[in-house]
Amino acid sequence: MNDFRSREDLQFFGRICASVSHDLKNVLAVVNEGAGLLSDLSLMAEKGMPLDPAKLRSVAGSIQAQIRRGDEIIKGLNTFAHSVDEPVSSVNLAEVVSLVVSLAARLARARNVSLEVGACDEVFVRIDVYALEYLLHGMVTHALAHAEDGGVLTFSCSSPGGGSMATLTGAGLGTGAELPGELTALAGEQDVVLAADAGTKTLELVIGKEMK
Amino acid sequence: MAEKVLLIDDEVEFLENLSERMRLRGMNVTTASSGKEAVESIDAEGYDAIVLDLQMPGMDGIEVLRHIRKVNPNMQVILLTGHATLEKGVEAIKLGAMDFMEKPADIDVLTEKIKKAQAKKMVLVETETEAKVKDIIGSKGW
Repeated sequence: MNDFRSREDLQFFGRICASVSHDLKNVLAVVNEGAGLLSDLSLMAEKGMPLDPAKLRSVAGSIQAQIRRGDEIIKGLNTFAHSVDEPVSSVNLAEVVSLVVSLAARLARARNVSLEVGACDEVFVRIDVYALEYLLHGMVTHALAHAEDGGVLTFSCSSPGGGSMATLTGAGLGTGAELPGELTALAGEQDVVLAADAGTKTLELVIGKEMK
Repeated sequence: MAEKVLLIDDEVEFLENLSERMRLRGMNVTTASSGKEAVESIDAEGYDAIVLDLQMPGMDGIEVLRHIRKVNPNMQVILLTGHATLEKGVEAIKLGAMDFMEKPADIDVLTEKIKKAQAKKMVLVETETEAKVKDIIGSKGW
């Protein structure tokens, strides 16, 4: 791998970490204000203001929900971080698609686009998992650049004819610019096919034969 | 006098809890959970301070800031955001954001900044009024 490719890889890793850290900051901010509100209410109670148990339960519930949200975000980051452990491994494509959707959710939200996981068969592929994540995330980024405001992008996966395929469908897709060169080059290196279909408004990643 | 504050953030629970804490501290708080909602509030009302998140879906904080500069350049804006990129931070300051805080924020520090914003706005409004009065007196030749 040359220096440039190596830097592109790191930049992708960095973008994901920066996005996740922003999400975690938001989680901490909600927890901080929830805990602060409980503290304020207890101070007011000391001064004689009656406490509303339903209010306390609601704030405590909000804190617990944020802790679950933070835990999910950290689990995703941990899985992503471990994707560079092995140069090649066998993974469930549905799980990788689901991970990429959760990692790219903030990016989609910023563009006012909803990114969803559609129908996903359990398909095992043998591949460089980090490169697969890079390609799937690149598909989302490319699609978002051409998606309509308020639109929906759906990632699904299937195993047509013994191969494996991840498909991203949504309004606006296929009508924009060509696929970025670094994505098609990486697809070539990984022996997978990345294609845009303007007619069906889809981006497809075809990975080859299914591995069991 | 109670500080009149507009709090803008797309995290609804954050908005609800922080606004309640600010009200308990005697502030008059209005909330907006999107850039569009914020612009409607800004067009309809004047505020002593606006607490603004930079990263929001659709119309983001920078666009809201541009709108504020256009309709009311004296409005005092405090950025309260997760992680702003250096580029966004510089752009926001160039657009006249008065102060910057990272989430999670200390409410006492935020309250202090809001009080400073209110004082600064009062000075700016007084200066502007004085200039208008001088202008009127000068043009009448009394």
